[in-house]
Amino acid sequence: MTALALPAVHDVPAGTSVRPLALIEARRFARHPLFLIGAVMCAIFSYGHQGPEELDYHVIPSFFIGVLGLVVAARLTASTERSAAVVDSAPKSETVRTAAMCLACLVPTVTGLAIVLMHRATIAANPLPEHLYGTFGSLDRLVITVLVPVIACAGGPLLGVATARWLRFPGAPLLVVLTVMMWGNFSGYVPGTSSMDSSSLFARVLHMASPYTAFATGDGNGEHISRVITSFTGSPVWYAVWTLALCGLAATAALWHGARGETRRTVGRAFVALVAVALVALVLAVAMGNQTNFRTTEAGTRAVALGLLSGG
Amino acid sequence: MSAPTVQLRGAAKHYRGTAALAGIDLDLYQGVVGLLGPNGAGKTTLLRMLATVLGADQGSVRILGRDPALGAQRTDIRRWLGYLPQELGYPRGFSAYGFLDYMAVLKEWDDPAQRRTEVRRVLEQVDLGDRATKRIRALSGGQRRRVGLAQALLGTPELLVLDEPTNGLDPEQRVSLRHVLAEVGRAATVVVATHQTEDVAALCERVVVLDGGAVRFDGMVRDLVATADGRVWLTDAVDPRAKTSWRTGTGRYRNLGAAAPAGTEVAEPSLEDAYLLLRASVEGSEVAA
Repeated sequence: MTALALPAVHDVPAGTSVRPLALIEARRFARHPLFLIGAVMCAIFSYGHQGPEELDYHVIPSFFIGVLGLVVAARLTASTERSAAVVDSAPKSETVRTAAMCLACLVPTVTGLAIVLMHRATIAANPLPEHLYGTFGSLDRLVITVLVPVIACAGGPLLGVATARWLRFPGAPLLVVLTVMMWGNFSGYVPGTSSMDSSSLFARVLHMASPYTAFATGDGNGEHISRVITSFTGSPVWYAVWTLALCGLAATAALWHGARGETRRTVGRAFVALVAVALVALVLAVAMGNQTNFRTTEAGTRAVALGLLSGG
Repeated sequence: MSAPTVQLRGAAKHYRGTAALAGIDLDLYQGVVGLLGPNGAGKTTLLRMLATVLGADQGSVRILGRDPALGAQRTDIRRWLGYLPQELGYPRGFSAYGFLDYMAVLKEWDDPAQRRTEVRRVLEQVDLGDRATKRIRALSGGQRRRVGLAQALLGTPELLVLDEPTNGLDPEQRVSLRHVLAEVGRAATVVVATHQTEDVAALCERVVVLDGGAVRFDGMVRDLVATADGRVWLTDAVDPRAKTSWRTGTGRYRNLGAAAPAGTEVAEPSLEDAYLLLRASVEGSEVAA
């Protein structure tokens, strides 16, 4: 039998096929009411705000853009699956659709960056007392106040894409939000609790092994500047690498769903590599930086507990 | 004769041990083909197979000369495929234009200007040019159905697979749809699954009747209608000799059976009559078996 003569398939230039879809998804993200509410709230709480502790500022973009972005990304990803019957018969695969959605997560990332920079500008115009930064030097301060919250603004939405791909039951995004928030709240402030202080290796690992963590706490209550800042253990720089790896893991987990053949193998290899990077970063985050908690006042800094790794 | 657009050989699909398609052989060529059959006959399974979203358990499937079981060839088929499923949900927040724009991107219309022109073209084709910016959820059922049809028409497909395309359409819209499909069918293969025999009679040259996952008839529409010649008659009361009968709008009874009894008024058979007689014979043979 003769083969059917098909029209010549139009070439799809490599690298351009995700872009138009990503632009559409980015527009949808930017127009989503929950994202807009989160961005406005984040900007309001960021403008000129200095506490309760400046080193804890990153909770604001992490929640208003990262956590709400998780829900937005999950809803947008799941909503196009309502048309799965026709979407699945189109030449662009689920992997391309997922990749486009992951790229659209640049919208909350860039928004978070802009708001964080606006916040830094207001702080620069009205500098804070030096003791509010605890034991952290200029690089650590930059990581904690700029890089960590921006990564959270990307990570939440990426986790939302993965959630929509893998957990297809009503309320799945809310369940993931609650899990992340409980995980972050439980482990983020572990070094500051009396029952599990920084002398416990377990507490120190738990402190870093979280998508959100606190680096310091103070005795301020939002109405006055803290007099005492307690700096927690761990390396902010390596913590940022850890959370960046978590972002990559969320994206590759999302991409792995529905991928076939060589694409699936490539994504799988990237996932394994990111797991390795995440584990190394986690170990270094625990092993480097402060090895015990420190209390800083205007008068100076003193250690408040000895860590297992400090040898002390 | 040119090579078939679709070629099935012993194609079967089972769900939990039940055959939705029981090893069918089918060749489809350019033109409009009607697919008739009762609920559960396997029509939707067959259409999903043609739309490359469902694979066969057994047998071979060739679409546009390609094997849909192979990734690259499946993608190739999808470049020339339009598919309207029986039930099509729409993402929240999309306008008709936005949804078609999204689908056009999925169909590799990456150039914005070309995509805009193509989306406008299909919107006009289904008479939704003036509703383009309306949210889909604000459209009527018939208009939503036409949005679904428009996405299937994107890119001038070589194979158009439509499951109940006239659902929710008013008579004028159905006539308009027939016109569109007839035009597309001049250069492409159009497969229309429907319960509306009048749509098949008005639109299709060829009809395939599926029942119990098997092909019960495959031929020209006029040949199926001809199987009912002399088997349809009119009476003033229900005729107990008929396999099926119903009261028509004129007050008389239309009877279908093995043959019109002597002395009765024989009526011109319709496609619906022929289909019902075919169904009755299938059920009869199943009972006998």
